[in-house]
Amino acid sequence: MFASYSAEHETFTTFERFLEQAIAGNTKYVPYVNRVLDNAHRLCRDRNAILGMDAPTLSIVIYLSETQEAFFNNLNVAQITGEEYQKVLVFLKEKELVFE
Amino acid sequence: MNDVRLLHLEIAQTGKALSKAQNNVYSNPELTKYQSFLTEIFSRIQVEVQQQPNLSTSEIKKYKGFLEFIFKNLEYLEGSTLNFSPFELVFCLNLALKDWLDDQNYVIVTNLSNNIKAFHFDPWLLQNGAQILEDIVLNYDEKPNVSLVQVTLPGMLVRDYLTSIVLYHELGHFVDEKYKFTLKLSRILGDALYFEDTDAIKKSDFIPYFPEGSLDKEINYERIKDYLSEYFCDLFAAQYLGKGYMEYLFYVTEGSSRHSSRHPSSQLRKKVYNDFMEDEDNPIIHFFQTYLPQEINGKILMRRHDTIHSTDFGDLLPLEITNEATLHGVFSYGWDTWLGGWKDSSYLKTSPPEKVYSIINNLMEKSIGNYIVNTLWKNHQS
Repeated sequence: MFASYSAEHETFTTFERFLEQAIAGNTKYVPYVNRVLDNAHRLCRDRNAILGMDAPTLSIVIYLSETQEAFFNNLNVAQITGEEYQKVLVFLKEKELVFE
Repeated sequence: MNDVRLLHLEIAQTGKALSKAQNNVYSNPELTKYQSFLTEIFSRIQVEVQQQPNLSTSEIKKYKGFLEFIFKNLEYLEGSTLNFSPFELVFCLNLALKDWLDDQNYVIVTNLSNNIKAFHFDPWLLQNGAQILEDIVLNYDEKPNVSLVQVTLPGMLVRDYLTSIVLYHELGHFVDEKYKFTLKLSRILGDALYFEDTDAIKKSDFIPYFPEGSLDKEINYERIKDYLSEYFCDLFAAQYLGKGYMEYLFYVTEGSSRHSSRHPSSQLRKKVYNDFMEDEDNPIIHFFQTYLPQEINGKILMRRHDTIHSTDFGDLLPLEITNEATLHGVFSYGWDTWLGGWKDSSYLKTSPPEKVYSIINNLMEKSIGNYIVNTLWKNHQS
C-alpha cells in the first residue's frame, strides 16, 4: 500500500507504521494520522526530512507548521532540535498532541 | 527425444525464475495471488511431464506454450515489485483504465527497459497469450484472479512524471486491442474508400491508405488500422493530459511531416490532437465518436482532467488534490510549470533547469502520493 515511500526506503516510516496500525484497528493512532494527512500539503515540502522523523519530532513539526508561518516557509528540522525541541515537546505532551 | 530433453531444460529454467520470484514483494496483493497462480500451474506441469516420459510433439508444444505464458508474465511481474514499480503513475493509469472497462479485473504491470525510448504496450496477453490461457484453464481448471495489462517504460525514466505520460497513449493501445476498435473501423473506412465515399475521402486526408509513390492503389487495410490506432491512442491520452503530451511527442519526432509505415506524420497527429483539445471539427474524431459508443461500453472521447490554476509548484508545494479529474490534471500542470510557469516563481527562476526538473517531478510525485494515502485513509474510515 505504501510503495511510494517504500520504494526509497526498505522499511516503513513512523507515519506509515502508525497508518497501518490505525487501519488495523488501533484507534490510538487515528488522531496522529489525521493530523499528518491534514497537513500533508505543507509537510511534504521536504519529504526526505519528514520520512526520517520519529513521531514526537513530526508532531512538533506539525504544530510549528500550523502555528508559525515563518517556520513553515523555512522548514528546517535542525531549528527545532535541542532546547527548543524539549520545550515544545513538553508543551505538546500536556496538550496530548504528541505520539510516540 | 531431444525435444523432451529440451522441454525439461525449459522447465528447469522456469522453475529457477519462479524460485527467484518467490521473494518478490508487491504493493498490490492481487499480483501476489497472480504469482501464486503461475506457481500452481508450473507445479502441475512439472508433475505431468514427469509422469509422461514419451511426450508427443503436440504435447510438447502445449507445455512450451504454458511455460512461455509463465515466463512472459514473470517478465512484467519483476518490474512491478515494491522497489521498481512506478506506483504513483500506475495508480493514475489504473483509474484511466477503470473509466473505459466494464470488467474491473485488470491490473497494470510494468517492465523496465534499458532503452530510453521504450514506451509501449505489449499485446501478447490479448493475442497469443489469450489462447494459451484458455488452454491452461481448460487443462487445469484454474483461473487467474486478475488479467494483466503489460506496459514497458524506460527504467531511467521511471520517476519522470513529465515524459512517462506517454503511457496513457500506450494504455489506449490496450483498450483498442481489447475491443478491436480500430480494426473494425479500418474495415468500415477501407470499404468506404473502395467505393469512393465522399466522407471517407475526407478522412483519407489523415490516412494515406497506400504507400507514397506506389502505383498500386489497392486499399491497404492494415495501414489504415495502424494509423487509426495511433490517432485513437493520442486522443485517449489527450483526455487526461492536455497539451504537454503533444509538445513532447512533437519534439521527439522533430515535428516531421513524413509518414512511417505504421505512424501518421507528427504534424497530422498534432492537428487531430489540437482539434480535439479545442473542440474543432475533425473527420477522424467524428468517425471515432460515431462508433465508440457501440463498440466500447457506451464511451466517447471526452476531457477527463481538470486544468489546475495554482502557484503551488512555484512555491515548492505539492498540490492538494480532491478528485480524479484533478489528479490527472497534475500532469498537465507539471508540464505548464516546466514549459513556462517556472518563470513566475522566485524559487524556480533562480534554479538551473536540472534542479527545476527534479523539483517538478518530486512535487508531482508528492501530490499524487498524498492523494493516494488520503483516499485510502478516507475509504478506510467510511
